[in-house]
Amino acid sequence: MPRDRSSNRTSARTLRLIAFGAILCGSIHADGHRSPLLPDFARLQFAGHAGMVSAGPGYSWWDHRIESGLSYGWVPAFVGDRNIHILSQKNSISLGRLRLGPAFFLEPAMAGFATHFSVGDKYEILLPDSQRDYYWPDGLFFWIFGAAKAGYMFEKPTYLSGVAVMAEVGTINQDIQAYTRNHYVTLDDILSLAISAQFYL
Amino acid sequence: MPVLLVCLFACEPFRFSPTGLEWKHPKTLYNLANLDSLALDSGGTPRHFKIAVMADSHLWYDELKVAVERINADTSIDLVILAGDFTKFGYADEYDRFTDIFNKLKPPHLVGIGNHDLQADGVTVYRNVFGPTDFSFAYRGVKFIFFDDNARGIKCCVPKFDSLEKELAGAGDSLRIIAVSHAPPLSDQLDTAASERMAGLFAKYKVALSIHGHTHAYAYGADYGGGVPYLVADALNKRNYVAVVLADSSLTVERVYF
Repeated sequence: MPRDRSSNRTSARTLRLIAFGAILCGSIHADGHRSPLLPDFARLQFAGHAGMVSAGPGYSWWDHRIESGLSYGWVPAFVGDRNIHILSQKNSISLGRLRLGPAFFLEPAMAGFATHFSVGDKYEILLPDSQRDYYWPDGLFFWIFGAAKAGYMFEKPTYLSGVAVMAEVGTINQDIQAYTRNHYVTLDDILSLAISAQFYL
Repeated sequence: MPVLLVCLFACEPFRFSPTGLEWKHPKTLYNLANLDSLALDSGGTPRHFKIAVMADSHLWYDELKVAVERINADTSIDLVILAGDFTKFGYADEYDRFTDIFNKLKPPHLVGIGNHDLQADGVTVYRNVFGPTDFSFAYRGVKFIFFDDNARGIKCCVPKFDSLEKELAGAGDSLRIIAVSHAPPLSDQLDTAASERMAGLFAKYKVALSIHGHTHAYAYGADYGGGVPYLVADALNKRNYVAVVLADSSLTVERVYF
């Protein structure tokens, strides 16, 4: 069926893009210094409107308190009746860090947002001029979240310098619109969770 | 942290994508279920009955809830029709919220598909939730024809004129015809040729009433020729629905504010 072929093409293109990015970023100089292109972390996420599972690299600043990453997410057909592919760009900031000993840390208050694109012939991200007054592109949505993170930084880093788990509670812009217009729609209706594991490189 | 813990128990914990088909209820096909109850009164000559017509509820759930309460309080209403656009983005969650409210209606109720309901995976969700987008039935001497006319720039095949004409012709002389589709002729959904073809068919088969929404602005009159009256319901945020009363040969239309 044409739609399945298109979906497969989209997946193949996405995987090639990720592979190219990994090769580009993965270069380490002969003297052992990390390339500035090498990502600071890789993240594996469950839920959060980014797909059932999503994964991708990211960069961080200010001792990992500000983070920005890209990911590819997937909702398999056995869950969503159709394979759904989502590309995301996600940013977060930690508002404080608690040190629990030399290696453990806790970031109890984080905030951030992500831009998600559902890709494939079913979804629109760019609309023609004539339709912009009437439609929101259904393949584009923003995830706004608060989060908490707990992590462990290795004393003697090898391939990884640390690991962390993060739990997010958030919602998307379309649900915020429904919530702000109605008493009928409650916070319970629009909030959901995401869990992720983060690997510091 | 406390919000996370509360959400773990209170909200639906994990969501994967708004653009999926994560429909939470069993495949009920609500339109077909309601048609079963109408089928008991399918034959005969036109008799007095009253329809409540709504359209374009989009994200106005509070208004929809009040409309449902008001319609339930009026025991003279025999049938409720919503002429499309009960979502804004075509997402499964919106279908879920809408049906949670709309299914509280006591009279039989039917939902047509609108251009917003088709967005994303909307058409598949619609078929899973309500049944086919195009359907017809006879009720108290009237043949109702619901069809999808949300072309939205697509030049081919919407509406399906051949099957629409078959349905219109199938009414014969004994049944009056009420057509229901989301977009009225000459709206942004239908180009001039399609609008003229639709209006021409309705005139040819002497459609008694053509029901629409889409423009968010109430209108009632024979605007497209052939003496066919076209009714366009307001968007629901304007807090009214339209009561249509059919008697033996007459038809009256009245807006009911809530």
